[in-house]
Amino acid sequence: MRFQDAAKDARTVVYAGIQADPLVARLAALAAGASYPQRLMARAVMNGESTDPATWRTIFPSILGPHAPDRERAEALLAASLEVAERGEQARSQYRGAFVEELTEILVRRRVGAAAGPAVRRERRVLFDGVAAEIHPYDLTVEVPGRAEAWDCKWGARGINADVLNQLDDARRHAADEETPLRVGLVVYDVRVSCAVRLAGQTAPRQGTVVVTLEALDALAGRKPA
Amino acid sequence: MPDPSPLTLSDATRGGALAAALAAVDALAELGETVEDEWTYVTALAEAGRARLRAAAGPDTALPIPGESGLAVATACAEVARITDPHRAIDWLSTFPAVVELVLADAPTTADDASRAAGDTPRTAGDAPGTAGRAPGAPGREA
Repeated sequence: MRFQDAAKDARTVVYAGIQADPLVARLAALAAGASYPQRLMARAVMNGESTDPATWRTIFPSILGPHAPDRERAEALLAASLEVAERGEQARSQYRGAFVEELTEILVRRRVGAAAGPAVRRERRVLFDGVAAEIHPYDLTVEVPGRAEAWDCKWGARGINADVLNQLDDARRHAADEETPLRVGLVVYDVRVSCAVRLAGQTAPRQGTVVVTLEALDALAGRKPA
Repeated sequence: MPDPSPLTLSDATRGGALAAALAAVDALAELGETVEDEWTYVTALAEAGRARLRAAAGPDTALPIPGESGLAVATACAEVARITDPHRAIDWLSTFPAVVELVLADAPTTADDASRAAGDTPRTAGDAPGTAGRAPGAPGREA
């Protein structure tokens, strides 16, 4: 098993610009230290119609109210989420995707530690001897021998589909054929119930695929959810 | 879509919040079902959302909820009413029940809690508004 950079096409070049936008990094850094309710608020705002912060303060009094714990972070998260919401529909969708990838990278890096930092990579393909390479790269890989991981990141449960599940499971099985462990998973910035409903409608194999939902994101960092 | 105004619940109880939220879920489902490829998912997601809301409301639906909780639910329902894109409706169908659950988690769930919240009994130290809620979205097992 070996890893390889994905080929760049026009779409990936445009998307790379969004991934590099400081807003994505700021939003992800805020969300990485946030609680589940704060993360849920950010999801609602980035998916919402209203861009008036007062509306969201009204909807989330326990997060953005005057007595809310860690209110400074919540307000910063609200402001950054509104910046995403204010983009056009297509850009908003791309920013949300880039955000989930960045957030995943931050949390995974916390778990693997600074020494293994260079082994955490983005947009990489996983190659196996005698097996045709998958077209789509993985959003994030951990390329530590014996502890390799491959993750796909999704904004919502709707991103879970047969293609994604099959690709992840194929990678895991091919790695096993080479007697190399490969942890595969999906990071979904959506609630567990929705992911469970989505998965229930899928026939693709998923037993060996980890699904990390909004409630459990801290597990990526090796922490129990708050 | 439900009428987005006025931004109050006609019935400021857990049951009133539940009724408003269920109507919002129905509206989201109706819009989301227009995405034909997602009909099955939307139908199942709406049913899961309704179940989540009923569980969040709890058995005593006559219990009053604080004004800020009622306003929060009413405003969230108004936000739902603004949605016209079916794909966004599906995304909201996933998020909205969790939002209402969060609001109701901070509202009284017993008559004693309701009395205390209404000011009949002084708050105990550390019983700050917005911090007393149970933790919706408890630790997940997926990871």
